[in-house]
Amino acid sequence: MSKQVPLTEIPEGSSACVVEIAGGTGVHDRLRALGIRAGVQVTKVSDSFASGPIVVRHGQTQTALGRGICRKIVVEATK
Amino acid sequence: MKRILLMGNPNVGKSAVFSRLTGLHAISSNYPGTTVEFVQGRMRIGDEEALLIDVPGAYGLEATCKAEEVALEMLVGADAVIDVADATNLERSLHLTLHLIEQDVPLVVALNIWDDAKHRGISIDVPRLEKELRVPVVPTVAVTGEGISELVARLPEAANPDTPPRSEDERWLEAGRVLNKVQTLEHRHHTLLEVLGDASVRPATGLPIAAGVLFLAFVVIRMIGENLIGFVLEPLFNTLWLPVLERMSAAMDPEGFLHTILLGSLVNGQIDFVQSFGVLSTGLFVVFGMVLPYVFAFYAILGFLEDFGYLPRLAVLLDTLMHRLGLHGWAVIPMLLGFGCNVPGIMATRVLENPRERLIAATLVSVAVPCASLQAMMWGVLGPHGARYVALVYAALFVAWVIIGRLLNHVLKGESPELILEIPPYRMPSVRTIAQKLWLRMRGFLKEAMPFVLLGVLAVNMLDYVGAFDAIAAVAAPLFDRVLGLPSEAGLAIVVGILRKDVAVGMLGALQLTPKQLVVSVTVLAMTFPCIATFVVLIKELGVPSMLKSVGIMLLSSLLMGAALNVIL
Repeated sequence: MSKQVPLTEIPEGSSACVVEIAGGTGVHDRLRALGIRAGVQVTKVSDSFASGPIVVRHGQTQTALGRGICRKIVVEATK
Repeated sequence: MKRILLMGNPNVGKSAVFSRLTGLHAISSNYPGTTVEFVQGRMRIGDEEALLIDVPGAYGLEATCKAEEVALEMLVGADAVIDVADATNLERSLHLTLHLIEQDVPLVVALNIWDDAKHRGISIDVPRLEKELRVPVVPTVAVTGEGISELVARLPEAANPDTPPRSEDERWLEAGRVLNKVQTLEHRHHTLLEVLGDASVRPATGLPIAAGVLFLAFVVIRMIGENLIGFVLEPLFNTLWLPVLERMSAAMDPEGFLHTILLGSLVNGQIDFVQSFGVLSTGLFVVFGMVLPYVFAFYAILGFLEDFGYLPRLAVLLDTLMHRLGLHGWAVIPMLLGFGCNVPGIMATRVLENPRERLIAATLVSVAVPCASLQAMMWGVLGPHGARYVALVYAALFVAWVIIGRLLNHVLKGESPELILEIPPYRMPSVRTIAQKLWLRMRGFLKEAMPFVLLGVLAVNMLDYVGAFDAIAAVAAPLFDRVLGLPSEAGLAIVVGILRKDVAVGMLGALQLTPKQLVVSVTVLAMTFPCIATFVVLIKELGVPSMLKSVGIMLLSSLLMGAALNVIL
């Protein structure tokens, strides 16, 4: 069993599976519309210093997400 | 007449399909959200004419943002929908397609960006996809026009298979199921563009790249602008237009009213395009000979960066900085557009989520972002004294930008929302779309700016002729003298700046000021009143109360900055 952590915690370049999105329905819906939802595999393309956004790849898309949102995305590291 | 909607996810090329179908041109770029308002045009289907509506991009029909609300409202009563899907991102496109199929409206799918999908090793079984969806599917490449005629030919086949409504999760599952049946991925190595794409979004490599890109853009814009002026426009004005004006001048009394208004005053017995200040001499020269070349160069470079897909990456890199100013990274779009002309810059604040952000962004654009006209004049007036003086003005504007943003972020209630932004892949832009977009923007600039410049010059000449300026100058003199260290004539220029900033900077050029005085007055001018056109847009976009706030900040900050420069320099 691997650990469940916020998206902010996994290293750049690693992949993980989204377990749940802990935000309110607003954040939840916007992320789902972009294709980020429980069960989706994401790869962290880029992490920035301190408070900057994180870029993830999911399927054929890349999306930049503010750090606060990333803290609400719980993932389980794969591999 | 039939009403046909063009729908799809953001950034799948709807606007490009639209311009192919209608022959009208809508501005498209390689980033999401270019179309915030809907655009409509007429198209032919066989012998029939139909109304085609380009609906803002939506990820779903749930209305999670303004653009999606608009999309949803328009769906009611439509005769057919052309669903533009992205072949390189089929799963997400299918999600919307499935949602549309559940609605009560006939549908055709245009599987766009087909060429890029092939390059990226994605193959899609189109007949199979048609069978799964039970609606016509046509592969298209909107930028080249491939597949468009087939799309039109198959429009009458638009179908609405009977489908029970699904929940969001069921829809994603179904999209995944269909995807697995129709799409095969060929494994291949990252392309150079993909490697570059990742490198330019990671801070360690991205920030140096951003600095390089912006510096290069600046240099290229200056180069194109200067060469167009020096080798094309000045010679044209001197050989073709000057003889006409000279003949007119010879036929008139040089001190007379008409001569002063139309041709201006003679400098050393000659008509001088920069200093004479007539409507037909300086007025036309300012528009075509000084400003237009820079506007052209700016929009050419911006268009390339937009279509290449660079701007969302810049937004990610600058997100942290922008948050300090109460904005998020995407606010770089209005800022960058503002460097061309403040009017589209302020209109682009619509990409931001809430009124607080829009007020901050619009204020920052109108106070601290110099438009192409203004920059052309800054270089024209200060350039001869040395590039470092021009740099001083840019530095002062940047400082003002940061301070005002931080203050507003501190004072205004609320928080800046977080960035959620799709990063499109880099794509080699097509010359045709860039040229089209450039043409649209140039036409927009001429329509917006030219009347104001000509009217501005006309009004200044009239007021000068009746002596109104001497009265204003007398009243304003103490303020200008004590606080800003400027002669009272410079006050005139700043008052004229209400009409058109670039005209005003031009007036300063004729005043024989010291470089220091020029830096102070150009900075004050750049920060104070936006031109009339910007003013109108501020009212339209923000409403009168917010506009007044914005203008108050503008006046106060420019005076403070002018005074500070006067003390420091």
